[in-house]
Amino acid sequence: MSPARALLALLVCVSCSGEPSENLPDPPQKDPPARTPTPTEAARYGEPLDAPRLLRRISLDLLGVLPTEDQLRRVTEDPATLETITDELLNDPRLEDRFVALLNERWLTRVDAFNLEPWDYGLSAEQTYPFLRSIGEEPLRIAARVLVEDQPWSEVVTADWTMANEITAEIFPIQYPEGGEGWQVSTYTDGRPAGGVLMTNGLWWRYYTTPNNFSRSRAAALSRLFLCEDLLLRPISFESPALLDRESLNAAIREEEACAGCHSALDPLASALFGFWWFDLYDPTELSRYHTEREQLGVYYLETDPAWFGTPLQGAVDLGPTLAADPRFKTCAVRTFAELLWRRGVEVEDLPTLETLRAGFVAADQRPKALLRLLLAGPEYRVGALTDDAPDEVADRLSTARLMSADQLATAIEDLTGFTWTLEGWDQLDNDELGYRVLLGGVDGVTVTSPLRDPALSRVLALKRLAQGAGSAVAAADLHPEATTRTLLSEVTRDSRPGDAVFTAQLEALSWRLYAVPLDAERQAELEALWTAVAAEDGSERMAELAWASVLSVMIRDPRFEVL
Amino acid sequence: MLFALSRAQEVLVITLLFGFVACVGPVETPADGAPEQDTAGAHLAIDPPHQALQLTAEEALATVEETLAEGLPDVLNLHALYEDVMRHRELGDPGCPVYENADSTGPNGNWFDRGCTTTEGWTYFGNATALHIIGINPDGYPIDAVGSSASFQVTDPNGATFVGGGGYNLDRLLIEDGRLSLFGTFGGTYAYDGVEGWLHDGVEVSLFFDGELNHNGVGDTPGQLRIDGGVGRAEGQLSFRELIVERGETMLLSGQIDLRDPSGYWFHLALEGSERPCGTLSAEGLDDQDVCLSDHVVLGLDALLDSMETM
Repeated sequence: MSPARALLALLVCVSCSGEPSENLPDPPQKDPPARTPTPTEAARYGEPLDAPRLLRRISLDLLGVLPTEDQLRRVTEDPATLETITDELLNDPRLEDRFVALLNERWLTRVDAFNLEPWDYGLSAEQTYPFLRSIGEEPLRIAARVLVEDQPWSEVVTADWTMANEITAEIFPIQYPEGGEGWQVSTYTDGRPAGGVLMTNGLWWRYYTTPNNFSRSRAAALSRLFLCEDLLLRPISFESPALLDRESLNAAIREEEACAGCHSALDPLASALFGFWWFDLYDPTELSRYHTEREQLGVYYLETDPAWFGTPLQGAVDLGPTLAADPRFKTCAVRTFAELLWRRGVEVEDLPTLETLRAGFVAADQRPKALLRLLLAGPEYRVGALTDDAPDEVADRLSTARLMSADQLATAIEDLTGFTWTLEGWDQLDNDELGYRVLLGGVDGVTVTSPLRDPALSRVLALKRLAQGAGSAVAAADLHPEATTRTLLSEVTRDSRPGDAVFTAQLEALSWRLYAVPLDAERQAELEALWTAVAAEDGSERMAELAWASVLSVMIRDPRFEVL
Repeated sequence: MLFALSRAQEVLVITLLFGFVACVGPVETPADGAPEQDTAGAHLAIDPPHQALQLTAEEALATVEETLAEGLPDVLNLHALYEDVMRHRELGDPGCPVYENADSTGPNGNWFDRGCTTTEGWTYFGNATALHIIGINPDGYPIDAVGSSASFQVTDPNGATFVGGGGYNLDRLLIEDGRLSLFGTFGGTYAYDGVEGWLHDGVEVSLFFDGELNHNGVGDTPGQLRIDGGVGRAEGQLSFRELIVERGETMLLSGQIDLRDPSGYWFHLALEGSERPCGTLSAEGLDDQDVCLSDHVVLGLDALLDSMETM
């Protein structure tokens, strides 16, 4: 038996022993973990980013923007202020929007199409983009609100409220605060039980079910998203019988051991989800309302009562609280946060770290900000380079350089320059109907479900256009003779030339602002040469504007900008 | 990496180690009935907080009565109403609404329209595929079948609106000895404030019918109809589990009628199948109680059977 197989066999054996001790129990609420963990790979072989670059990474991850000049100055003068600044970032209201984008990489609800169109609700075609995002972001907004208010993470699946904006408040049976604007805590009025994101239209519009699937795909999604158990990864082997009707399907599930292995857990879980069962997949009334009278249809369709991995459920009302009480929920939250911030999947070697994080998370009463603080302080997050003796496989595993995601690029550039790229009301960096989200490395939630981790040609091309647009916009605005406020070109005027002190100061400021790295002489020479060449090619009174547009475009496309 | 595990193996290992895997081991499959539930997670002893019922037993029973006061939704009645409103369609090119078969003149068929108004003042929005078949089926039995899959909103000249979304079908076959075999599904959300009765205030349905009745009420063998699924009205939400309505000289009800408490939990009324519509009302945390439904409920079911056996 190979070592790998032996390990697998051992793990399977241990895991299925049925003894309670196999589980990771919740640790004591106050006491720290009893043992000192051995150094992790990241601690042993990783070298952390310097304070400015680390601040840059944290700021981009938490807020989607680059750190301010003042924050960079503070952390340069005293690296210990990083913790203080991190706390400031964790209390910044922009954390909410950023977390929506970040968590979407896992929950995948910001999709470009649902079964219904805006016109089904009497909305105009121009409202298509906000319509899609309003629905797709509903569950993400709940999680983000729980985060910014630092409520226990269990609230995500137990809350008796939802998040709504003007669109969802209009089309769904939702009570929205009078006079409210934008995303607000709201409540459904159609009798659906409390259950946080589990009781949102947004989640189940994305993870819909079909007439012969009977909510099973939804149950599988629930398991995947909130327990981190992907039933599709379980190995199965069976001879396929005819599965064209409900009777044949249910018979196979009963009689084929390979089927029963998953369906014995899946079907009772699916049975709890029939309040979202639709008799027409494209009817706005059917899809907008929760159907309380259908909650027990699982008994008819699946021939099983609702249950949670063997624990009977009295109904959908028990779903959220039961999920929240399952130890796997907390474990999955830790794993989800870790993977999103580490920008990689967790691996066997990460298990001790995850255990420690979980203990801290539980000790903090599942407060998500506490978990974020633990993650941000860890070597796995902070690693920026490897020691010389790091084995190759460690280099493959640890994510020392991370690409800015499509949404980070969008928010960082907007914050830096004020530039936004829209077309017909669509955010071009946040859709794939008309835009470039996937080309930039983002997820569309359906066909592309993992963000790009390594550079790719399509990303280079999309980023080039983005950088050109932003650079041109900044140069035109900042160098306008009557400009009263400036974004990036704060030092120079149209008359500044390479060799001028202000010109050099401008390049230094840009390097620091964009990369959190001081300008080196070689790079300075390259940028000055570029500026000179573009200016010479034009020669008009706009030459400075064009030259700076090119310089900014190149600087934004620089790997030091897109990597954090 | 300690060993050369594939990515899939790694994921599995992580799940096994870090998660709490619901490992099933050798699976015992029951000979019939539901798949055996995965009980591997049961040792986690999850006992989430439960909410208290909001209705008393008396209130629950009254709610059942109120919900069934207008009888059960009748799919034949609904289809007849649909045909009535679609007869006001405007023929022509393109017509209002636009039918897939431009030559059709009847109410059934496929149509789709983002909104049009006829000269009579009927407005149609949405889409529907509807049919009504009267004929002989492949086995030689006379058949009367209605069906629809739809998402529509029709406003009549008086301003009343008929909203429908969902699907239904009811197949009725005239088999031997004057018996009528029927089966069907009635699901969706429907409302029409231009009519009286169960449809006026709207209803959400998810009903399944299966039975054998006497054609036009003529015959000595008791008719029997099995009802599963649910009905949701403003008054309450009911769910039927193998509710058997047997109609001979008297009507016998057996099976279960469940009522949803506003807390989200359910009351269960197990009917015993006696001459009186009586049974046991139970709920989590409630002592079982012997209760009886009123004759009004029986009459409502009687009317439904009358409708279904008329062909």
